[in-house]
Amino acid sequence: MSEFQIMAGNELLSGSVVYLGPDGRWTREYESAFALISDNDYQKAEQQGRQAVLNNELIDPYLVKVAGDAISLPVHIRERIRYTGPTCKSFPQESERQS
Amino acid sequence: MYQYDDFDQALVERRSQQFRAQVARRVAGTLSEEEFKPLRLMNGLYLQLHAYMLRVAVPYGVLSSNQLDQLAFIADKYDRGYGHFTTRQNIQFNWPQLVDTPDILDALAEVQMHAIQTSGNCIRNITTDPFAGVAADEAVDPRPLCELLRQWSTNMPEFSFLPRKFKFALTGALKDRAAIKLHDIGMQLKRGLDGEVLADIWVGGGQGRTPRIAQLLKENVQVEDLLPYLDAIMRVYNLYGNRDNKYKARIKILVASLGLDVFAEKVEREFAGTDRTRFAGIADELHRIETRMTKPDYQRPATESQGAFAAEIENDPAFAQWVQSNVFAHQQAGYKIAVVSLKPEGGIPGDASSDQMRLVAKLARELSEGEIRVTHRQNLVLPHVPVERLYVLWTELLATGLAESNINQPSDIIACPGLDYCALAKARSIPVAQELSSQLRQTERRENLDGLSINISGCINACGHHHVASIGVLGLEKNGVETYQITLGGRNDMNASVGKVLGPGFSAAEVPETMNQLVDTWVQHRQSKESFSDTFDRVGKSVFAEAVYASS
Repeated sequence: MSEFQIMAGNELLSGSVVYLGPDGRWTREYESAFALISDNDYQKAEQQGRQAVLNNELIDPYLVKVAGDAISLPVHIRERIRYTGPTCKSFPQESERQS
Repeated sequence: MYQYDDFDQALVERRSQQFRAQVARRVAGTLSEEEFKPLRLMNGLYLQLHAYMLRVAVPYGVLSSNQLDQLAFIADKYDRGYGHFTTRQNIQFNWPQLVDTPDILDALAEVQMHAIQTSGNCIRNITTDPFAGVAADEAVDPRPLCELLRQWSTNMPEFSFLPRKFKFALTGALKDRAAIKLHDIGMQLKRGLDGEVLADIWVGGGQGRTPRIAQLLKENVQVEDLLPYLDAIMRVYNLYGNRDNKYKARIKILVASLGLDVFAEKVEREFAGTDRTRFAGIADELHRIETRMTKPDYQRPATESQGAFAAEIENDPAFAQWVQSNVFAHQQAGYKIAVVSLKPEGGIPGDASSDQMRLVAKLARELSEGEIRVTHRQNLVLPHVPVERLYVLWTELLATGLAESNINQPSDIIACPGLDYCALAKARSIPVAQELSSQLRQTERRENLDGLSINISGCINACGHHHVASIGVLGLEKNGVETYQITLGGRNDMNASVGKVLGPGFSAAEVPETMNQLVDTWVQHRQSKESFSDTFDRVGKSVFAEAVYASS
């Protein structure tokens, strides 16, 4: 089973959960999150997180442990729910506001 | 309902403008997140698991139809088409964006609403009996005093940096529907021998990780002494409350550590030394508030209305069921209080879609003098419904899934948002509530389970009030796995008590069957009309524990 980490945070303007991508940009797509596997990767990602905070893009970036075989998911339930969204839908017609 | 004057309106508009400027500075980077966070919290804006969350104040749970319509508009334009009514009589939106919040606050100000002090270490929303002003058992309408306290505590500089959050609750009825003994300060209003309003003041209640039942601090406080006395309590708390450890910073900890007598002595000394000129004109201010509260235009009840109502009850068993559980006695002849359940079978407790909000607003306009109440059990109330209009009301509610007949039934579950939404939570509460609600509705149709309360919290902060339910469910996390601890025997009325932990926790899958076993055990052992908690106190925990753990 592969194990690695990704960097996650909240977008300042929208509050949406975002992940650090391989190109150094922050993306809402979990599947595009950059897999961090070494101490060097973690340090660089943390530096990018701090810079994003200074640039007013991001709030509260932190590393998230991920594991899995075919599909890698966050290890901790809290982070899995952050990735999936609420596990309950309020109403069948719950609408997603266009951002 | 209280109607803003020019001063009140200017205050919320100025606050909205101020926050707009603060957001602009945050976006531009001239305010850091560390600097901005306390400011946004004082305007009710949290950062949760997936997004920001905005908590809008519903002062002492009272809403007009226009206000509820505006909340529906906000839900549609700035959120995902729904809102969540909370255990403090407020409403929360789970998906606002930071950049939209100034416009949301402007929209709220248009209808005399705001999000001021719904978070932060300050005095929060004053809560009260959702039947205030209309309950048949009421001695004093608490709403004018609630409004006085709201105005006194809003933007109060001295109490804007308290050791921790501070919550008031008031009741003016014999039956406490406001859970006053579970608040930092709880007040019971009553009449003296000459009909004057008096207040008994309870202090040091609260839930969370160290639940405490409030203790009686002072009886028979006269109205002219009330604000100075409350001010004295706040000043003592502000001075002596713990600021080193936020988990030990509530007033309940201070009262417990000093002892009630020492605490009372400090308050009396502070009260005796109060400069009463600060409170000159309070009686006039209270009178001003009372004159600005709209009064319902009650009509003389039609003589044939009772007969028609009785026929409707007889002819429609489903309507009769709804009346039995959801309709309550009113002070005014010919009127009733109707509770709209936001606990549909299998639904999310306390959630309402924008369509449902608009429907309730319309029905309130047509059938309830344009007024709605929010209850701390996360339901809505139409407080002024003529008896002969109840059937029309029920028919319209039925068409939109708002006619569940389950008030004060086990499926009238209180649940916090839990780990599906809340950044503080350890476990999910909503899926557990949904599963239990479906199961319990079936049981309620077979057995009389009146008064059995089930409350679910997703963490030790106890926003779901699990401590004071007949059966409380506390979500915890162990090695990344959700586990649920059950407490039994809680009460949230004037006989308030904290539930006792049953034993080892359960998985989410085990909770429904455990609940079945607990309910069956109660039904088996109860005497006459004994409540769950009374049975629990009489037979003891071991009877319930054996029923649950022996079978597993």
